[in-house]
Amino acid sequence: MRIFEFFFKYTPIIYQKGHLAFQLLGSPAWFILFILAAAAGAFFAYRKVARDKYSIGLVVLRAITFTILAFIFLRPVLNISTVLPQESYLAVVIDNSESMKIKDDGQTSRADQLQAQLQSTNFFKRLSDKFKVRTYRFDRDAERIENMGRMTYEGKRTRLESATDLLNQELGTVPLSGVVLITDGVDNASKQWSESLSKLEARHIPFYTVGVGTENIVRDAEITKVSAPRESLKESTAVVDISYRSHGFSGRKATLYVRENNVLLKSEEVTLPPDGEIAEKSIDLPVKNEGSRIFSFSLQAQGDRIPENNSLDALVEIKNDHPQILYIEGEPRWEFKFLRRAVQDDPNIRLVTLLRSSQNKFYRQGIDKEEMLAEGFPKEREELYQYKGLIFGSIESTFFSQDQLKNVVDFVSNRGGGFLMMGGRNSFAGGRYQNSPIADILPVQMAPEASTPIIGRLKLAITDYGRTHPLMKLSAGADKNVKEWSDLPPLNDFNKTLDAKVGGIVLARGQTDTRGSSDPILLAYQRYGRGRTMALASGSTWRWQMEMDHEDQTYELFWKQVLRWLVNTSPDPVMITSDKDTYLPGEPVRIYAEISNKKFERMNNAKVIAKVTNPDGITETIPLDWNGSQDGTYRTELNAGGPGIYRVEVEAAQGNENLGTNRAAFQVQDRPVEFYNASLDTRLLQGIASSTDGHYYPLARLGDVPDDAVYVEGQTSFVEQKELWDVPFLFMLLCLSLAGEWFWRKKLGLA
Amino acid sequence: MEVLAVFQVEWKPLADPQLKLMAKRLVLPLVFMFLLVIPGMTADGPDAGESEFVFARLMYGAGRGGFRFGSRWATDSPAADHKFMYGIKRLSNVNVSQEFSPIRIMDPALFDYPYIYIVEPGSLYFSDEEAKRMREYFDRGGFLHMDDFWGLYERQNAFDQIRKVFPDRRIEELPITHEIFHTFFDVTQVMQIPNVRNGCAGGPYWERRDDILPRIYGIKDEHDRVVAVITYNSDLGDAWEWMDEPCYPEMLTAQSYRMGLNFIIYAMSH
Repeated sequence: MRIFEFFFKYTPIIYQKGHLAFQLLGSPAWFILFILAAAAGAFFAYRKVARDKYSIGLVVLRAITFTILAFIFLRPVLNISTVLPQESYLAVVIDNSESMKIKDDGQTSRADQLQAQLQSTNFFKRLSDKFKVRTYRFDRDAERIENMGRMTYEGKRTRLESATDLLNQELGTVPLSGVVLITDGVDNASKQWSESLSKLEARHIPFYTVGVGTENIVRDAEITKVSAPRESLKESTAVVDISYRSHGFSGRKATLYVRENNVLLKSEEVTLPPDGEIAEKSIDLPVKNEGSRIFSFSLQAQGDRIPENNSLDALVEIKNDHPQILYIEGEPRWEFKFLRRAVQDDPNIRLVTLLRSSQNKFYRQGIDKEEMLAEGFPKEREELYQYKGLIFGSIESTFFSQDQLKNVVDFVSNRGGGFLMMGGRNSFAGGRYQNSPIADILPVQMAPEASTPIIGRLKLAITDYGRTHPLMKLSAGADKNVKEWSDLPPLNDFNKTLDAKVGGIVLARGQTDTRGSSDPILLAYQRYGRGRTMALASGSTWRWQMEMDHEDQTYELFWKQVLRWLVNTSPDPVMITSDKDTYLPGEPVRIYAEISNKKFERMNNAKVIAKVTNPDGITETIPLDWNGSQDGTYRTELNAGGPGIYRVEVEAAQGNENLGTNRAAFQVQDRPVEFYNASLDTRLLQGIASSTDGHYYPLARLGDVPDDAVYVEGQTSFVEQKELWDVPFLFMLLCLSLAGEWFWRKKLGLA
Repeated sequence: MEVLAVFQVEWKPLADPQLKLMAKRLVLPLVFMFLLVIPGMTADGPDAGESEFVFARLMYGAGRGGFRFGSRWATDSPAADHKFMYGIKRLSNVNVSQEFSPIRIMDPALFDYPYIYIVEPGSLYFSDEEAKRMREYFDRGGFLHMDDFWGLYERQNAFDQIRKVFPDRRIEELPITHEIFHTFFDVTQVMQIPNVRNGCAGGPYWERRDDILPRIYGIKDEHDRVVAVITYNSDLGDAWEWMDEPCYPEMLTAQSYRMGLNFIIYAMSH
């Protein structure tokens, strides 16, 4: 007998589901009159007590005594609906997925714990005495089983809706008194679970949910997420963010491994966070060869009890793309020469330059057609939009027409291009950009009075944000990286700007010898619309090339990183993506395409098809349809097949005009998802019980279910009366109030 | 070509005969001082201020006769430097320094100046240490214009010295179609640019009988970029210096400025 039953005679569910009534009263509401009468009687009893010995507490205690006595003598009962034996059905639904094999305590699996509890409570026998019991197992699919011997606990995924769908189907027309749902609450595959559940809710079928496992798994380190760029340029560095968490390992060291085709690429030591908290680690991966590359990330901590959740993969499409960047320079400068040299051997950056060598003379380099830039800086959007990146050197704003400047703004915000303004005598405020449309897109605010660059030696110092930014990574170690920056030769000039804008991120500042002057911003960036912009407020980084040993590659590395950053997110007219990069077999794959014409106007009436080639080399052609809500966005859905890499090529056309093609890939992997985020989800199970007027039980209270499940309203129920006059708690309360009053009276000299 | 010529520019405004006589009396001591002191002085480094382009004149030693007395690095200076830079400023957008900017090979500030000019390399001499430093200069991205040497003997010396810097590179004659002749002006023929005396005399323009044709050589890096341009059997320096001398053919002055500007634009874009 539990404490509650000792005091209150019955189990909690009887109080929860029963309705109070008095055998000597028509309605429980009349009992209020008795309470008032008890209060009046108590007041009357103490009316003659002297004022100095009178206490309202005595009146209250006497009133409580009268009320309890009245309650007992009026024959109180709980009316509760109880099923007629063997007249209704009860479904027992048991989780058959792999997560039931987890040993939360390191010794006994969830499945074994459940089995032991079922036997020790004689669960099925007790249920069968009262119900027609139907037992089901479920993982990704559900099926009826005759006995527990059919449980395998091999299911790769858990889909709660498979169980409820089957119940709706099989027991939709029979008197169903309840559902006992035994699971750890891990649902990783349901699509419309609430819709499926609502059908049973509408029938007022209570769910008795039984939670298996623990909310906090002891000694488990888990990789929860890997965020990698979906595509990256060949010969660049992909920055991958790995999220991980642990239980029972707070503060301990673990090792993060990166592998490709089982070949170790990198390993780094990490400190595991406090229980349940998620920590992040960024890893730089140099990517050289083009193609679909699968990187495997694994976290290894000694004593980990669930090694199955230690690994996650990321698929990165390495493209041998050649994005074009247009660099317009208003005057011959050394930065121009050395920047061109720095990226000359980068096969994936095409730098097209337009150098104004005299007031009306231009020198073009990097062009592939004679007519390219023949009229100078592009006047038409279509011509400008051929480029993915745009660099302004020392060239004044008045060189451009207003339309050209507006086109540059649109180039960033609409086309999604990258824009960089470099320092110089005709840059920033020196080029009177503060009153031009370009002022809006720059990440810094310009100082109108700073019309000429300040000449003087200054060292570049990376900010706290810059320390972790991949753009500023010169070497792998954080401390070594900071030192490399501080060891660079000083710059010779900078354009003074005001603060960074709200969305601007400052990566580096200058350190001057001038006392009292604040450190000027040297490098900052921000997102603007679909694109990104950067301000480099100096034109003398070429000194890092001329004033350091010729074998030093810092200058080249810096500029390659800057230019790649500039174009990394610049879209093509046809863009393709999928909702994830890795799927489980059978999982729905949603493919999206963004279709624009050469002016980057979104096209809603294009013909878009995806050619999906599976790992066996079989190609399937699937049309994509406009999603009807977002301009230029098309989508389709297919089911993932067997494991392997699937290649997708999307072609778009409008009429006879070919809008372009693009390629992507996704991976199908049969990974053990059941072991990820595998803690008992008590909240989910309590929510189900609460919404269906059922009850939640931890596994240790499984034995309560057969007793509680009988109290259900329905066609196969009768109303049972549970007498309350002899509930021990009432007598205890009566004794307490009488004793309390007596002691109080004694103290006041009334007894 | 002539060191004296440096001062002739400064003499020209002196129309008064008395002043001319006084000035002539001062010439020899001044020239002597110039030859003695300037080549041996310790340079603080040329202008490193607001100007983007500095016409840095390399102060080199001589093979025979010692550094102070045999070297001709200062030939035509500073008039040629000033006038050439003035011309570049007028013709182009290059933000040039007007300062006379000599720089020693071993000066740490050498690397502040990605363009250097060597005149009369017929007497050039690089020690091993200097040759190594020059190679480092080029490997980092420096550019050289070598000018005003004539005949096979001087060419041999100039080439011998430059080969100390580039033992692995070829000195090759640049065709007129090469980009370096077309970066600003389209130069379509290699003209012989004479010194002021031959120019004013109307010819012949060559100075040494053993080899009279002008040629422009180049040394390229591993990316096929010209890192050194060598104007052999020509004296662009004199043409820059004497651009305002009426007897000097204007066509040759124009050619020398065009070539010089082309070289600068090439150096600043390749």
